[in-house]
Amino acid sequence: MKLLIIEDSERLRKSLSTGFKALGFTVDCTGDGREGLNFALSYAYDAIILDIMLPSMDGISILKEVRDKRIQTNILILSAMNQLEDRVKGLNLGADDYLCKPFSFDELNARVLTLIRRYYQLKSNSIEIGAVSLDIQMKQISVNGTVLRLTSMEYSLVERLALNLNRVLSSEQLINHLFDSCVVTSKNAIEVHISSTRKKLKLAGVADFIQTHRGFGYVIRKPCSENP
Amino acid sequence: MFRKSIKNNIILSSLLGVGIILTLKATTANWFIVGWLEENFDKNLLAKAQVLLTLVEEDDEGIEFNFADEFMPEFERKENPEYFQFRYVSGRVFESSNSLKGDSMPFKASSPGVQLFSDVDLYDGQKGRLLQLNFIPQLDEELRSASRTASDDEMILLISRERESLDFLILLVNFTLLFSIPLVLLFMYVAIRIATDRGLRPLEELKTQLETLDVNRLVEPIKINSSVADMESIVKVINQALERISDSFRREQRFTSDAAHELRTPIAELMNMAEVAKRWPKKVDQLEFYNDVLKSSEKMHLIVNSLFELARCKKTPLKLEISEIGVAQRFTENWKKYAKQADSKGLRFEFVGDAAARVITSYIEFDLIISNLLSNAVEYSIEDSTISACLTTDGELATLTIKNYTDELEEGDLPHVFESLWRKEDSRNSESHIGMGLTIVKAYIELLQLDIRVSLSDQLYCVAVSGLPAVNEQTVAP
Repeated sequence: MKLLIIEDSERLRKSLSTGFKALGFTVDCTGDGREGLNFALSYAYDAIILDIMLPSMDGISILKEVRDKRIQTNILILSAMNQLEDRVKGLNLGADDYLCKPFSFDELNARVLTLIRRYYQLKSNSIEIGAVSLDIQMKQISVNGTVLRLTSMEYSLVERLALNLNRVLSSEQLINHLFDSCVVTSKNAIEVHISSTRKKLKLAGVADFIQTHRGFGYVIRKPCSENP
Repeated sequence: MFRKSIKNNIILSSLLGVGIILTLKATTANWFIVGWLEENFDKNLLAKAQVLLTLVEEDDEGIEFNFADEFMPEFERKENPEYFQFRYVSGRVFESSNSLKGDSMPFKASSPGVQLFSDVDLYDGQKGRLLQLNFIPQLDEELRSASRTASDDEMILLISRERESLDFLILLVNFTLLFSIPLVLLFMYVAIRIATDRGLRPLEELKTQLETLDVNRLVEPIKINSSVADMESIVKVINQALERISDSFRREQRFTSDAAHELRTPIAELMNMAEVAKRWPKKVDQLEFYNDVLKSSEKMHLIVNSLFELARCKKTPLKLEISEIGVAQRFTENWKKYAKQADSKGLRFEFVGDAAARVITSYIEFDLIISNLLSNAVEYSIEDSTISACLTTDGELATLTIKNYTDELEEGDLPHVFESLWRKEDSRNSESHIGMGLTIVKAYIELLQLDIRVSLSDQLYCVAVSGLPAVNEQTVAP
């Protein structure tokens, strides 16, 4: 899952980025309002963590601009302004959640996961696809109850495809989502990660879990028995 | 129980005033009416006596009394009769009314022409009025001559009638006057109460509005529907006061909110850095982590120190230690604190004017003013520019001016520079300045009873501190 953090406090930005990366998120960060807006308009994120008081462009203007462009990404406002009217204003302008500083990292993580669950219409942190089960909170995949040892990138790859069940995602879409926006990566990297993940899944007894659509990309399909 | 209030005071004083006036008027009226009634009663008695006198005549045969009962039946009737009696001066009875039934009437020694009125008990038991009139009977025209004088045969007329009807009338008058006072007072009470209720309605309305005043909506002006000219000025003054209170309240709220806001970010930094470092110690560079924790703590320290400093200088009375201070020397000393930062920006400092100039003020506060002003000048000056300070003296007072070039301020920012926690940039992310420096300077300026003004012209930002007592040859430090 990919996050955008727009926060002008460098130290807070850094610690949030470290924490979310450690949790398996792909994170883009910026401390400048205008740059943050460019990120939000250029890339697809699962959630945006947005501060209000920012240099060059304030968070409320960014929020308005993003919603005006009909981008439905979850936006969580993170602000030291804790007055009721500030919170109401932020939520009325289209923010999905509002968290006042100071806050606990765990609370922020829980709220981000809630927003993502709501966005993908998940009832819990678990996604069941046949024998495979994904825990988006623990960031682990298990097959028939046995936890697979996947790298962070391999997990993120499966999670991205699982969240977009039955949808073919191109290598570019996967690259945009799995790597920081400032990192230049080739399609080969995706192929390598897909290949290693498939091997681990096959060893666990699940073959053909990630399917290739030649010329289009990759997809995870719901088993026929689970289709309505 | 009587409660002191405007309404009760008006009612009480009005009733008291009206009561006194009414009592005085009633007493006077009573005196006049009773006097008039008694006078008229006596006049009637006298007129009747004079009619009787005309009936007494002296001729050759002696004194005659030509009285006819049918013309004056009041002296004959059985009920409520009147009485008369003619006597000689010797006391001998000459003639009496039938109503007397042979009784005699009391008389006193008197002179002719004198009217003696007195109250008596009449023969039928009633209270009555008696008139005694000494007279000389008139002579027949033929007998009148120069030799015959009036004092020859002096007689006495005694006439009386009941006075209970008069007394009843007087009593009626007294009662009417007496009872009219409480009645008028009662009427006045009702009338004044209605009038004061109506008159005080705007006050009541004002009271209700003030009672229901919401502390968060002080800015909404009080409006009196039944406004009168007297109340308009009061309402205006109250609204002005409420506006000032609201402004102050808003400033306090904003200050509290800003202070909390300033503290929340470093607290959030510390909390999250600690949480992440605790959970993923291998993913956090230890040295960088400690450095960041130190920076966040230093920022909090700066904020808290500034808040304490502001609270300290706003605390009154603060003991000031007044002394003579060399202004140029203080600038030189304070510049050393910012020299490193100034060097990195290529800034120069110069003190213009008399390097030996001294002022008389409190050392600590004056030094903090210079330090804060220099700190601001260094922080916001354009690179490779000069910061200058000068002291000009006008008589016994001196003005200290600090000038620096800046591209961070605009004319519209000047009214805000002394506001607590005000910063030009929205992000409020400066590490060394939190927008309290000039607020503290302003507080010290007020404490030292000085004046401070700021101006901006073509990027030249100028802060002038005036009203400093200057040292000259005649001035001696206290």
